[in-house]
Amino acid sequence: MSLVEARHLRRLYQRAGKTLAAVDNVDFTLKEGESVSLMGRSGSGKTTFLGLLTGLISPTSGEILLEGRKLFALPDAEASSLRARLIGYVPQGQSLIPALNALDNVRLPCFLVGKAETEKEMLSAKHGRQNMNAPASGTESISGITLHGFLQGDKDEASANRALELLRAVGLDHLRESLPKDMSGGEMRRVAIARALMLSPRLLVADEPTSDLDEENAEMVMNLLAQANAQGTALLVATHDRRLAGLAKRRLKMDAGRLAAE
Amino acid sequence: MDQAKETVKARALTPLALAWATLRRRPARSGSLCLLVALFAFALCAAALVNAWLKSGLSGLSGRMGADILIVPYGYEKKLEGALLRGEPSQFYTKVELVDKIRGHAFVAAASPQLFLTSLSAGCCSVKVQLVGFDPATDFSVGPWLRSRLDKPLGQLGTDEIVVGALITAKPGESIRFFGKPFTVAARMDRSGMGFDSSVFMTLEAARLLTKEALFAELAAEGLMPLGGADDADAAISSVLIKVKDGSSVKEAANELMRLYAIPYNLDMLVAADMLSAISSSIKNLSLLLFGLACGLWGIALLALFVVFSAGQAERRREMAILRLLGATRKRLALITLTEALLISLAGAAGGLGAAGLLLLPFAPLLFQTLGLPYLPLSCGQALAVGITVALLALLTGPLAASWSALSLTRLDTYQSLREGE
Repeated sequence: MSLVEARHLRRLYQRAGKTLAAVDNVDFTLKEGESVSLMGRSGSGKTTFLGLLTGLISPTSGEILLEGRKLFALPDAEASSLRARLIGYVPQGQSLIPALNALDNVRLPCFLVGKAETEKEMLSAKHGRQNMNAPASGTESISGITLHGFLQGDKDEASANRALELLRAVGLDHLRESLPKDMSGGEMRRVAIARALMLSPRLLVADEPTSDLDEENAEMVMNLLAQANAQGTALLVATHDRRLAGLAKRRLKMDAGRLAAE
Repeated sequence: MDQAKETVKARALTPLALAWATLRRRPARSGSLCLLVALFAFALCAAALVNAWLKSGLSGLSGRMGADILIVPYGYEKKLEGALLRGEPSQFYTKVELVDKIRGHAFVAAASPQLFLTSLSAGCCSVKVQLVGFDPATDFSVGPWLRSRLDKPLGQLGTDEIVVGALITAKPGESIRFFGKPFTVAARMDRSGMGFDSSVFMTLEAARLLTKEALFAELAAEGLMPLGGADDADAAISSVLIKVKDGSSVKEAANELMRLYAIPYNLDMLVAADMLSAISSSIKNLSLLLFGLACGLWGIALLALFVVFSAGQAERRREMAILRLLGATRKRLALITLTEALLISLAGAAGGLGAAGLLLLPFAPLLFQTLGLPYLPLSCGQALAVGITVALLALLTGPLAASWSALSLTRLDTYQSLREGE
């Protein structure tokens, strides 16, 4: 079973009275541990495509399946839980919560989804797998730390220790008490990556993660993404950076909403 | 990753913690909003307390008045009202023979005289107090009230004994001197909400003796001599309290009494129901004004909070989108916003109620005395009820003002909001 699958995906929008296709009839699959880069000019539909795959934007037509489950058929609470459990997202630009320090920003995903919602969602996922005779997945991860695990145990201490471990991994444990306003762009991006890895997701989605970084910081970010992928996390990265795209085993190109191999 | 494991203690990032962190990040904005809610809570609390105090005072006044008609020398109605409501010391005199004449009318159920004196000075009080002489044999007005604290029949109150109002600082058994004559305090009354609280009660006989004794010189020196002088003291009274028989019209009785005695005795009168009605009307007006002010402030607080939350939400769309991206449901986003608003309301309500408690409770008696309105402190239960009602309304302000923002978060377009911040 694919981790993510898009079928006949289309997203239309209106501009100046004209209907344009940001994503036009795209079929796409991503398997466990795979790495995919997505290149293309600005406005080609990369970010819209990532938004569709992660359920942030609903398609005009077509469907998205996460772990074989139709994402847009799920109620909001279950869809949110599924997204949090499976996908770590590094958005374009600054994405830290300004009122929280680095440590709390990294821990945040553990606290946004409720235990009941997660259990319900995982139960229905399990049933889904049984029906499809699919292998169990999602409750275990490479680091052994999952959303469900956090919800079962002492969330405060466990999440803090895990967050510190991740901050250490991105070289920023010394900034654990710092607020985003006291960090550089590169540091914020590295914290965002640590946050995306907090729940040991099975897919890491990064939208132009090196676009506004200097060479040194961009290098660091690339290494972190490569390291996560090497540890088994699938990687889907939209970028203009050829070096970053070069890290991926499968390279795709987006052009006027259509997807093609590079 | 091989570094020694370091255990970190950290708080739970609940909606409450997230809301608190956001409020702390903008102390000026949060403080201003709290202040607005506090102003509203203070105004509402003030209005509710003043209203409750006044109603309680009015209820005490009407329950304790007893008389339907009060006869006084012409021109002294306001003085009597001042003495009754505020305990303003005053003295005025008419002739005692009037009492028997009034009693002779078929529509009169009871008539009892009172004699008022103003103390010159006394150890109990820094200002002059109203001395009220009443006739234990015929009294139906203050008597029933005084009996509630007196441990002997009213008729056994000696000429050297007094009963003091709640605001006179003397305990039963202590001695107070008026015009140089010592009096033993037989009882101290509970708060009544009217002028009786700062008055001293004695028998009519004791009051007459007081006017006759050596102190006459002092009275005369101040021009306070009753009627024609010491010889007339036995013939002097200040007012006649009249209770009209059931079934008789108070208005008609008052008109008849005025027709017969107003000119020969130079009298005027107060109809208790009219006086209470006038006070009740003043109370209604004051309450309306205060509640109007509270409503106005509530409107301003609601509007300001609405504007700030709406504007703030526009600023924070990307932040909310990030939370959604990280797994927050739409409901949770709304909950975080409402919690922020609730925290503001909570701090504002606490501040407003605290300020009301600190400023209003100690100064209420002085305020009401200045306003000339009856005042009776509230019981703990009543005060608690006012506090809880005000707190609930103040607490509601924030979430109510933020409800639109919270509602619109449930329709947040995460993708668009994320792109807006890029």
